[in-house]
Amino acid sequence: MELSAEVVSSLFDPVNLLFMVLGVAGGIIVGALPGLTATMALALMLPFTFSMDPEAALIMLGGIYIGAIYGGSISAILINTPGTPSSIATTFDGYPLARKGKAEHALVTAAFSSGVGGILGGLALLFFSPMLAKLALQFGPPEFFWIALFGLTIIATLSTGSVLKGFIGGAFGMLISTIGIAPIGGESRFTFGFAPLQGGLDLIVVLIGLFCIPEVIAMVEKRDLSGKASLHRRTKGAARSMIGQLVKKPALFFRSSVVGIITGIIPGAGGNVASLLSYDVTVRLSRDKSTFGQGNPEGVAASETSNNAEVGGSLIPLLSLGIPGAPPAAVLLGALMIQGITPGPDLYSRYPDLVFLFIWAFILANGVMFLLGFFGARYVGQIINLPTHYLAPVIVMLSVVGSYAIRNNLLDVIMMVGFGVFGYWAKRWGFEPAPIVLGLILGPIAEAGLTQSMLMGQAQGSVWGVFVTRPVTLMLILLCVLSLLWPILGRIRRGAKPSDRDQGGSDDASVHR
Amino acid sequence: MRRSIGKECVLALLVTATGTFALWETWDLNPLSAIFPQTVGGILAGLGLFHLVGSLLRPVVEQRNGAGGRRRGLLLIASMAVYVVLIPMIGFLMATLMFTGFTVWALQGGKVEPPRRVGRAVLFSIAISTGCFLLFRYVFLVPFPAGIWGSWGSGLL
Repeated sequence: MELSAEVVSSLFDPVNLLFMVLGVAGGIIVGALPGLTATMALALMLPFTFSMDPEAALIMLGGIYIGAIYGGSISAILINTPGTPSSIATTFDGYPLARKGKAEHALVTAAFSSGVGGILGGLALLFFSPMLAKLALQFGPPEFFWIALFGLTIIATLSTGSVLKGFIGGAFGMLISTIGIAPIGGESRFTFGFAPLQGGLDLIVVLIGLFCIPEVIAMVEKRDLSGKASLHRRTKGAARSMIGQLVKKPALFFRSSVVGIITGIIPGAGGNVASLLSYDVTVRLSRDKSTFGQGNPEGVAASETSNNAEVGGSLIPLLSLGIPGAPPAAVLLGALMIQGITPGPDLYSRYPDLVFLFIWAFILANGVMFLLGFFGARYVGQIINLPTHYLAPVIVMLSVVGSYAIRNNLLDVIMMVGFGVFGYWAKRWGFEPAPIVLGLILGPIAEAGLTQSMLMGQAQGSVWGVFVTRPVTLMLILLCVLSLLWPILGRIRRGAKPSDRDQGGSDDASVHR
Repeated sequence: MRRSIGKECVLALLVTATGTFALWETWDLNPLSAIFPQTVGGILAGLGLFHLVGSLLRPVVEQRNGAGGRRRGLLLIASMAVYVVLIPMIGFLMATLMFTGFTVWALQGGKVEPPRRVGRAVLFSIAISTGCFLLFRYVFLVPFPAGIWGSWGSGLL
């Protein structure tokens, strides 16, 4: 709202613009490297901002955050490995597009969608911050429990073939999420006396292992006679025509942005949840579900719009309440405090110029990110043209480095390779990695929500009453029921009889991957 | 392609066993530590049993992959395992040089004559391993294991 002359002059200050471009470019590079997350990129750059003035520091850190979330889509599209957990859903259609020789189409779709999502998230931050921040305060443990259950209902969409195997994968993911010390009870589970397991499994390690390694093994097994994993064909005007197709779908972008912004506002639910929910909604509302998972650009757009809109969403409770909505926002909180600025309800009145400069710079940085992504796509897409005998070892090496760099722990590397080989065999047995990872993401949210709610309920005299008596929980229960009944409602709407299902019941919400 | 009752039954039994094991393993924990893994373990065991019944009633069709492709896949798995074992022993840089060099050499197969095959593998592995090491060690400050090179190697290797 407040675009004072001072904000404008600071926004277009050449030094600030340079830091913005450097931040976005650096964020893209770090985000594209598997294992290096947006949080890590921000944490790495934080010490360099100590001596900078607050404006430049915040502009650069905002740029890094935006760039890293978009950068995650590059490796998701090219090598089926989400560079950051936020890009899990981008792999579903981005990688099949790359395999069809349309890597540039996928990368441009990701850049455009990320830009649109980011700008809409920024506008929400600008116009609706105080109002939306109140939403964050409505979420307590019972709501988180139901959010996790709602998230699990999308397994039907993520499953290929058998939904039963999808649910088995999801349950397995939740089970392995309990390895380590219980968050509330405090006892060790499934550690077998092995101390390094007490910290639990790292999501990124499992993510790299399950998504990346099986794909590299499959790539090596299936390589054609030319030795190339896939062929990226440059088509003149492909990028422009792709954007032409995307602008005709405003509802997709608006819907995905709303999902991203709301998910970002809720502390604890990050970009990974946002992109998966948005992908699920897009598949469910699509008339032709069979194209999803086979290289439908709408799948990439849904995921990338949502995860970049989530960035703006996660900053809403940070700036208005001092509560970070996502881990990278927590690092930004640290950056603000280092500069002597304490976020909270009075931030907008105490530092109006700085806050509005940051928000406008955030919106502008999304435009910069789009330009970098748009013009870089044609060159980055060439990576897929590397022969398999070069590409496969590079991917394995980056996976090893990425999984090691998270905690500087060799056990993580062993885990990554172990999960990779497990994922390879699981895939051969009909299990996709996405439901397992979904279970791993939502397991800790569900467990903390369940146990904390039980304690709350115990104090109130009814252990289970707390789960079904609060207004937001009732709304979430309704959403869970609607999500589960959606395929049946769809059939009733079309007036069709239930089709034959495979064993375990693949339904019409499931996609083909 | 072949009908596969046995494979799916084995899978269902494995899933059931995993769920049952989770129940067993968390049996004596305090309720707040046990409730979630026990619930999930119970669900997993139930889903496994459901799958067992389903696979007995309706066997699924299995597709098989070519033997040549499988051999290359197994080779990659084996070299990854050796790579991971070598990292703490000889340090990250040396292990990566050996892994990338060997994999590039092996995956080129018989399509390239031996001198060029070795040359490409050596050049590629040196360039990519050193580049990656320098980026992560000195830009992202990742302290890689030095292995036998000890404290001298922790700065360089």
